[in-house]
Amino acid sequence: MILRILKKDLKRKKGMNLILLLFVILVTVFTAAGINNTLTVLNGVEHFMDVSGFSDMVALSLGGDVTEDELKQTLDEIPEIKSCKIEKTYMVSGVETENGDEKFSSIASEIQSLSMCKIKLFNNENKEVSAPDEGGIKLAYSLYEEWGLEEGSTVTVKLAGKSYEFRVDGWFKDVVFGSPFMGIDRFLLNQRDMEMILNDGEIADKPGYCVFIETDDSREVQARIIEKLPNMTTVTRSTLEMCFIMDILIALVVLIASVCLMAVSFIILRFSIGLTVSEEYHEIGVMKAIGIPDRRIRLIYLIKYAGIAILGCFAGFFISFPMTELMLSSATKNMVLESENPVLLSLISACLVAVMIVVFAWSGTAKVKKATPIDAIRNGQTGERFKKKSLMHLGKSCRDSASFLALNDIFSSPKRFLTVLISFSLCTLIVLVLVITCDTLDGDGIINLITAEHDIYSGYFGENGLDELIVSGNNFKTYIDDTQKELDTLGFPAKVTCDIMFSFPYSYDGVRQNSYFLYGLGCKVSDYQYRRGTAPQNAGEVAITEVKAKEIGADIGDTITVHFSSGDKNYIISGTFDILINLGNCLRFHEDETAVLNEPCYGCLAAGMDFTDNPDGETVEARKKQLREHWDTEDVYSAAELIGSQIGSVIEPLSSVRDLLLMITFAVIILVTLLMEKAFISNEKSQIAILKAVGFRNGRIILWHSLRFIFVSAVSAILAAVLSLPLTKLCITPVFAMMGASGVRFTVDGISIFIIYPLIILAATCTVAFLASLGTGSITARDTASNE
Amino acid sequence: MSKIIEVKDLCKTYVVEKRQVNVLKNLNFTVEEGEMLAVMGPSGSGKSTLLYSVSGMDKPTGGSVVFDGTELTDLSQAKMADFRLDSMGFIFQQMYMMKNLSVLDNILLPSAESKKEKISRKEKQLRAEALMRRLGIIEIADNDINEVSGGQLQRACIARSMINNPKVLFADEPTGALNRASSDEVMDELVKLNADGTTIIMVTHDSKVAARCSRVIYLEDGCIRGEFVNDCTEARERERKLASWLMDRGW
Repeated sequence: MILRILKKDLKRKKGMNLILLLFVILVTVFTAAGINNTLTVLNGVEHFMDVSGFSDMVALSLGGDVTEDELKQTLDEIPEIKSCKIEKTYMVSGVETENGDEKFSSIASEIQSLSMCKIKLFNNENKEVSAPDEGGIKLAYSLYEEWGLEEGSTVTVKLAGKSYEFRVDGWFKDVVFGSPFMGIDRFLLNQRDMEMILNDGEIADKPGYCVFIETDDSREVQARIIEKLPNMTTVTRSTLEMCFIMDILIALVVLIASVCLMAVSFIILRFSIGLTVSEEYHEIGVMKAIGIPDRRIRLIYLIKYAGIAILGCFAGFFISFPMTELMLSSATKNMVLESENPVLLSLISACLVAVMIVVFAWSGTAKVKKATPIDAIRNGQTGERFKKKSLMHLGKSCRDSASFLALNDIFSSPKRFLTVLISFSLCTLIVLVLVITCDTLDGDGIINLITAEHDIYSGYFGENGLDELIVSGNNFKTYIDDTQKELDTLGFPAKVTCDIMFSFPYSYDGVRQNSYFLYGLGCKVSDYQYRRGTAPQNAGEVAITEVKAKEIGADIGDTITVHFSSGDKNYIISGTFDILINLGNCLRFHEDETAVLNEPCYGCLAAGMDFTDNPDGETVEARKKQLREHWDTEDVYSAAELIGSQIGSVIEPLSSVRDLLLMITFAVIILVTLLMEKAFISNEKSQIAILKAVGFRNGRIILWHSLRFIFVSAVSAILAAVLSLPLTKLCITPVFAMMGASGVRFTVDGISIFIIYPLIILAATCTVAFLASLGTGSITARDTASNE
Repeated sequence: MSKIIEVKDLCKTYVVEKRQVNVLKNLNFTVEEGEMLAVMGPSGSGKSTLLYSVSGMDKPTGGSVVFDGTELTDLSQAKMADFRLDSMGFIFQQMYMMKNLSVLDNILLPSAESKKEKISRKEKQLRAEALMRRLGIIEIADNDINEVSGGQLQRACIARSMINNPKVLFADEPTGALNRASSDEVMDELVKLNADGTTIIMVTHDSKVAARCSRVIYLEDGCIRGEFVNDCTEARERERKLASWLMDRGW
C-alpha cells in the first residue's frame, strides 16, 4: 500500500521531486566543498610548509657577504639549532622579459638548479616540479602571472656583466620565495645551464645561502644569527605564513562564500520540505479518513524524502570533488592547497546532509498529526483556523491588479517569501563582498597603507637605477632636485618626494634585531596615516607599525635604541601605523632626523610626484603616459598600479572567484525560483483557475507570479547592496589586519554595487521567474471544475 | 426579447486513453436576454461541459456559440478572457476565492482588472459595497474568506460575478455545497438579479432550484432530451409541474 502511494507520488510530482533532488545535490556539494575548504584553508599555509619540507625558520644571505665557513661555524655555535639544511644560490643583477622591460620590483633575484634546492617546489597539479629542459627557466607563479609570461616566452638573466637568454618552461609553487611579499625571486635552471653559468663568470665565487633551520626557539636563534652575522636576514615560520596572506584572503573569501551557500541551501531545503508536506493535506486527510494511522502516514513521507536524500547525497558526494578543487584552484595557484582527507570529509558531509533531510522531513511531517479528514474535504481549511487581516486593500490601492496581488501575497505570507529574500540576499551579498574586495585591491583605496597619496609614483631612478643612489640617503636629495627640474622642463611642475628605506639594527628590552626604517624625504611625517598615537613630533621620536610593536612587545611611550654606524641613538615611540610592505614590519623617522640620510640606504619604495599646477585626473593620466615614454620605462604608476606592483597579482584570482560565485549564485537563484514557483503553482491551482474563469488573461497570471519573485529579488538586491559594505568590513578587515593593516578604506563603486550586479541578478531572477510562471498556462478556467 | 446566446451543432469530444468520448452531441438551443435557464440531467450527461463550452471556458470540438452577436469559438484565448471578464459572470459549486484577499477585495478584483469602464478604483469599490449590501453581506466586507459561512461566501461569489455588470451569469451547481436555508437565500438573490434583467444559465441537480427558473433543458448522454417552460406563478405549482416533467424523463 505504502509503496503504491509512493509510486503514485513520484509519478505525479515528477517536477517537484526532481527539483528537490537537485537541491539535495546542491546542498551536498556545497556542504562537502565548504567543509573541505574550511579545513584546507585554515591549515593551508601550515600544510604547504609541511609538504615543502620547511621546518621552523630560514636564514638568508643572498649577496655573497657571508662565506660558507663563517656560516657553518656560526650555526654550529648555536645550540638551539636542532638541524639545518644549507642551500646555495646565486644572485643575478637583473632580469628582462622579451619586450625589454627591466624587472626590478623584487629586492633580489637568485638562480639555481633544482638539485641545489633543499625544499620541495610544486607544479600546478601539486606534484613535485621537474627540472626545466636545457635552455629553459622556471619561476614562481606570482612572478609568471605578474610579468604576463607564457610557456615559450623569453627571459634574459643578467649576471656579472653577461646576459643569458632562457625560454620559459613553466612555473612552480614555492613556499619560501613564492609570495611577492617576500621580495625575492627564485629562478630554476637546468643543471647543465647552471654549470655553464658557474663556469662562465665570476658568480661562482660569491654564492648566497638559504639555511633551513629546525629549532624550538626561533627568536633566540634569530637574535644569535643577527648578532654574529648582521647581514643575514631571518624569516620564521610565522612570518612566512604572513607572506601568503593574500592567497589566504582569497581562500577565506571562498570559505565565507561556501558557508553562505550552505546556509542558503539548508534554508531552502527546510522550507521546501515543509511546503511539499503541507501541500499534501488532501492526501493526508483522505488517508486519515480511511483509518491509516499517523505513524504510517509519516513513514510514507519519510521513505520518500530519505530516498531523495540518499540519491541526492550519493550524486552530490561525487560532484563535490571537482567542485572543491575548482573553488580552491580558483582561489590560489600560489600555494599547495589540498584537502588531506577529501573522501572521508565528503562522505561525512553527504551523510550529514542525508540525516538533516530526514530530520527536516520528520519535523515537517509533524503537521500530519494536526491534519484531519476535514482537511481533505475543506481544501486544507478546517474552518477553525483564522488568518490575520490583509495588510493591503485593493480599493485603496492604485496598483494594477497583478502587482497588487503579488505584493499582497508577499505581505500575507511573509515567512514563505522571507526564505526567498534571505536566500537571494545572501547570494547577492557574497558576490558584492567580492566586488568590493576586488575594487579595493584594484583601486587606490589602500595606498595609505603603502605610502602617502600622490598624483603619480615613479620607480625610475635614472639610467643607473637605484644602485648609485642607495650608497647614501643624501643622494636622493640630488635625485629629487634633478627630477623636479626635469619635470619643470617638460612643463609638469611638481613636488617630488621619496620614501627611502633603511635597514638598521635596533634594541628593545635587551633584544637586538634588524628592521626596516622609512624616511620620507621631501615631505612631512604627518602626511602619512597613523592608527594610534601621533606622528613623530621631533627628531627624537619614531612611529612603529602595529605588527612590529606587537612582535617586540613595545608600545607608545616606550624607547627603542637604533644602532647606526656612527653610534647609538634612543627614540621614543610616538604612535603606530599600518603598512602593507615588509609584512607590516617597519618604523618611521621624523623628517628632522636628517642624520639618517648620511647612512647607506636599503632602497626606495617609489618617488611620489604631486603636480603643483593642479591638473585634472585626465591630465595626470596623460602626464603619466608621457613620463613613461620620456623615461622609456613602464615604472611610472598611478596609486592603483603601485598597489598592484607591491602586493602582487591577487585581482585576477579574486575576480575569477567572483565570477565563479556569480555563476553559483545564478544556479541557486534558478533552482530556488523554480522550486518555489513550482510549489506555488501546485498550491494555488484553484486560485489560478478561478482568476482565469473570471477573465484574467494568461499574461496577467504570469505577471502576478513573476512579480512576486521580482519584488523579492529587488528588495534582496537593495538589502544586499546596503549591507555589502558593512559585511565586507566585518569579514575582510580582519584579513587585512592579519597583513598588518586594519584601517583599510574600502572602495565602493556605486555603479557596480547598486546598479550593475543587482541588475544582473535581478535580470536572472526575472527571466527564471517568467519561465517558471509559464507553468500557470497549463491551468485553465475549466480546472475550476476539476479542482478538489 | 432578443437572443443573447445561440448554440448550433455544439459538439465536445474527450479522448480518454485513446478512446473517444462524445460528451456533447450536436446541441442546438438559444437563450433569450433576461431568461433564467436551468440545465438538468443525470451525472455524466454533459451539463457542466455544456456550461463551460457555452461560456468559452472550454473550447468545443465542433459547432458554434454566438454570444451577443460574437462567435466565441473563433476568439483567441486572450480575447475570450476579456469577454469573460467584461460580459460574463461565473458562480461555482466550490466557493473559490483568492486566499490572501478580504471578501471585499475578492469581489473588487475582476473590476480592478477590467478596463471596460473608465471609472476610478474608489467608484468601483463603492459599487462592490453596494452589491454586498444588496446581497446582505456588507458586514463581512473586511473579513478573511475563512471567517465566513458557506452561504455568505457563495453570496460573495455572486457579488464578484456581478461586479462588471455581465450580460450573462453562468452558475455551476451554485447551491450544491450549501444547506437548504443558505441555498434558498442564494436562489432568492439569483432570482432578484434575473428580475433586474441579468440572464442566468445554471446547471443544477436540485429540482427545487430548477423550479425557480423560467426554462429547463434536460440533458442526457450529451443530447437535449426535452425542454420545459415553467409558466406557473405559484412556487409549489412550479415545483410540482417540473417534478412531474422530470419523472417522465426517468429522473
